[in-house]
Amino acid sequence: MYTCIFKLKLVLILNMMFAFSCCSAPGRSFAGDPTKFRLRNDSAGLWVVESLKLTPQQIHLIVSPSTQNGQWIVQRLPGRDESDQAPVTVAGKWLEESGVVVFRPKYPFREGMNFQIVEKSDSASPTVQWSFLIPKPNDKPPQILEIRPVSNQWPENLLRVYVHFNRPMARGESAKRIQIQDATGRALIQPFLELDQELWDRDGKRLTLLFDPGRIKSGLKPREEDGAILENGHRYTILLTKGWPDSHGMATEKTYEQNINVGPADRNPVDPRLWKIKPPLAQAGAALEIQFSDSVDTGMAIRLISILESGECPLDGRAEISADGLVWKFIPNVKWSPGLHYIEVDPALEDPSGNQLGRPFERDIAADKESLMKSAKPVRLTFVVPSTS
Amino acid sequence: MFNLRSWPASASLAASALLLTAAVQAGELTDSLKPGKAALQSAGALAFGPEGVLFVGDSRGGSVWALATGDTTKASAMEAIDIANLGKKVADKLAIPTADLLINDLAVNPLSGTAYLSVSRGKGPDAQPVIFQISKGDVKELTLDNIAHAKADLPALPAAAGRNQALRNDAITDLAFLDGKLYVAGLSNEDFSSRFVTLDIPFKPAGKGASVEIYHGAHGRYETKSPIRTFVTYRIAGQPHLLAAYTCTPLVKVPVKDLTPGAHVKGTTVAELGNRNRPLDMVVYAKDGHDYILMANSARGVMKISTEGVADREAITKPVGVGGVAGQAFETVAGLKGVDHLDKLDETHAVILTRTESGQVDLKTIQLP
Repeated sequence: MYTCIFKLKLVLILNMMFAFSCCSAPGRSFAGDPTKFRLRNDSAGLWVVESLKLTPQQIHLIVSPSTQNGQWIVQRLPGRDESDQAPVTVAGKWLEESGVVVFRPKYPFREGMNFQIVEKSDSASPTVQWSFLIPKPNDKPPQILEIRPVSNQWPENLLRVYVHFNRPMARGESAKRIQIQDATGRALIQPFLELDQELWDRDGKRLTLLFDPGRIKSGLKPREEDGAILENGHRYTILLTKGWPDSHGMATEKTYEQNINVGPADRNPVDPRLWKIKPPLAQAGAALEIQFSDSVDTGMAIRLISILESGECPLDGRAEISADGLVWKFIPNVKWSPGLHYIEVDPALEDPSGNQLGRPFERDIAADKESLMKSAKPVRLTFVVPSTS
Repeated sequence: MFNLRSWPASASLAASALLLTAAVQAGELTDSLKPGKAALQSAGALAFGPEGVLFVGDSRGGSVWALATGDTTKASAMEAIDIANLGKKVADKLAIPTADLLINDLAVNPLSGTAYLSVSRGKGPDAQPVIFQISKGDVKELTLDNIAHAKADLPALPAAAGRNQALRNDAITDLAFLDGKLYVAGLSNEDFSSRFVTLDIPFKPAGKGASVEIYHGAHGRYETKSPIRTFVTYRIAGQPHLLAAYTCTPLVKVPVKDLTPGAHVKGTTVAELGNRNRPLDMVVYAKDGHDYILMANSARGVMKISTEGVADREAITKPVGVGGVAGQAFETVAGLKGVDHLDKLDETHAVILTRTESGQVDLKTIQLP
C-alpha cells in the first residue's frame, strides 16, 4: 500500500519535473515545451505521437540512438485501480516520417489511459518530456438494448437467451453480471451454462446465454439437486448489473431488469406445416412474409431459411425477423418473378427452447429412434408469386 | 512443494514422441508451411504437433493455424518453469492492465519444454491475438509477422445464399493432435451442439465435421446434444480414442475411426464425475505402470482419474443418484487450487496455470500426482 503511494508520488514528481526542469541532453529535450509534441490519428485510425521542430541531427539521434543516454521511452501510467503503480514501457519504434519523428506503438495505445515520454540519462533520473491521455472513442456509457425472447412469458424449458448491446462489449463479464431472481428476490444458483468461451457474435454486440440443459430436462441429477431453473406459474426477474464494460472499458451505468412470467414447457418440434405464408406481389421491394405458429430462434431464422426460385436457384436478399421471433420477412435483391417459389428450411432451425424441425430438444431415445433420420433433410414449402398483370 | 530445477527426460517420453510423429514423415509438416504473416484473428485453443509446430484455434477467423515455432531443439533435460504473477508480466509486455488481458490456453512444446500461451490483448471483438513463449525466467512474444505457417478453414455451416452471418460464430473449445490428424472441437453461439472436425496434417480441405452425440449417464434415457468442453487422445486396446469431458461432468470415450465426415457418433459414457462443475483442461500420463488422466475443473479441483478397465467399461446410461459419481475411479488431488490450464512437461511433471482469488495468474511446474 505504502509502496503504491510512494510510486504514485514519484510519478507525480517526475511529471512536475517535466514542467520545471531542464534536460540531460542539451539542445534536444523539450522539457517545458509540450507544444512540440502532438497526438495524431493516422490514416489507419491508430493513435501515434509526433515530435515536431527537430533538426535532422536530432531526428537521427532519436530514431537511431547509439547509447541509452538520451533515448526516448514511452511509458503507460497505471490507472488508480491497478495494484502496481510503476510506469510500464510501451513497445514500439521511433521512426522518421516526412521529416517528423513519430512513435508507432507495437500495439495500439489503449483508449482512456495515460502515457508519458521520458528521456533516459546515464547521469540522472529519467526526465518526463510529455504526458498525454488517449481519449475514449465514446463519451456515453454502453447500453443493453433488449433481452430475447422479448416476450415476458417464457416457457419453463427455455434454452437460449440473447442479450443485445448497442456497441461491442468486453468478454469475461457474464458470470458475475447476470442474475436471475425469484419472486422473493433470491438469486438462482448458476442458471446459465458457464463457458470458458463466452458466446458472442462477431461484432461483440450479441451475447448468447444457454440455460444449463441438465436443469431443463426431466429427471436429471442437476435438476434434482439444484431444482429447475424456471418453473411454470412462477415469476422471476433477470438482472444485468451495472458496470459491464464495453470493449474500451466504459461501463454500463444502469442495471437492466426484465420481469418474466414462466409458462408451461414447449416440447413441440418446429413444424413448418403450421406456418402462414403471405406471398409477395411481383414487384421490386415487395416482401415475402412468414408467420410462425410459435416463436423461432431469431438468430438462426435469418441464416437457415432460404428462398428458391422455381428453377431451384437460391435468391439473394435481405431477411429480417421480428424481435418476438414470430414474423419473418424476405426482400430479394432483384424483382420477384411470377410463379412457383420454394421456402427451404434447414433441419437445424430451432425454437428458443432448442426444439428442432421434427425433433424436440428432449428426445426419448427408446420411443423415438427414427426421429433423427426424419429430421435430417431440409423441409420445403411452396408459394406462388402472382403476376401483377 | 516440488522445487527441482531440472531433471532428465525419460525414455518413455522419447517413445511417445516417436509414436506422435509416426504418421507424419520427418520434415513433411514443416515443409508444407510457407513463410509470411500469420494473420490470426484470434488465438484460443493450442496443441503441439511434431517438429515444434504449434496448432492454434482461431474462433473468430473460423480456422486453425499451423505455426512453425522454430523451437525444435530437443531438450536433454526439461527445466521447471515457475513464474509468479505471469499475468502481470504478459500484460506489461502488451502495455495494458491485467484487467484487459484474457489468457486463453497453455501448451508445452514436447521437444523443448517451452510453454506457450495464447492470449487476447483486450476483451472486445477488436482484441489482438498474441502468443507468448515462456521458458525459465523468460517471457517473450512469438513473432507472427514472418513465420512459416498454414491455415485450414473449418467447414462453413449451413446458411442461406447471400445472408449476413455476422451473428454466427463458432467457438473452438479444444484441439488435439494424434497420428497425423488434428481433432477440433467446437461450439456454436446459435446451434446448441458439439461440432467435431478432423483435419489431415499437413492440411487438406476439411471435412464436414462429425457431430458426436452422447448419452449423459445422469440423464437417464434422454439423449441430448451437448458441447464438448475439453478432450485428449488416448489409445484403448491399441485403437486411438478421444476421451472427451462435457459439462457436469461425464467423461466419454469415442473411437477415432468412427469420426467420419457427417457421421453421428454415439460416445460411451465411462465416468460421471459430479455436477455443478465445468471441466477445464486435461492430460494423460503414465505412473507406476498405469495410465491416468489429470483433469482441471471449475468447481471440483484437479482430479486424477484412473483409466483402469476403460476398454471394457459398460456405458453408464442410468441416473447415478443425487450427488453421485460412477464409472472410472478418481481422486481429487490435494493442494491444487484455482488451476485453469495444464499441460504435460514430461512424463513426470506438468505445467499449470493457476488463478488466485484476487485474480493473480501464476505459472508453476508440479510433479504429476
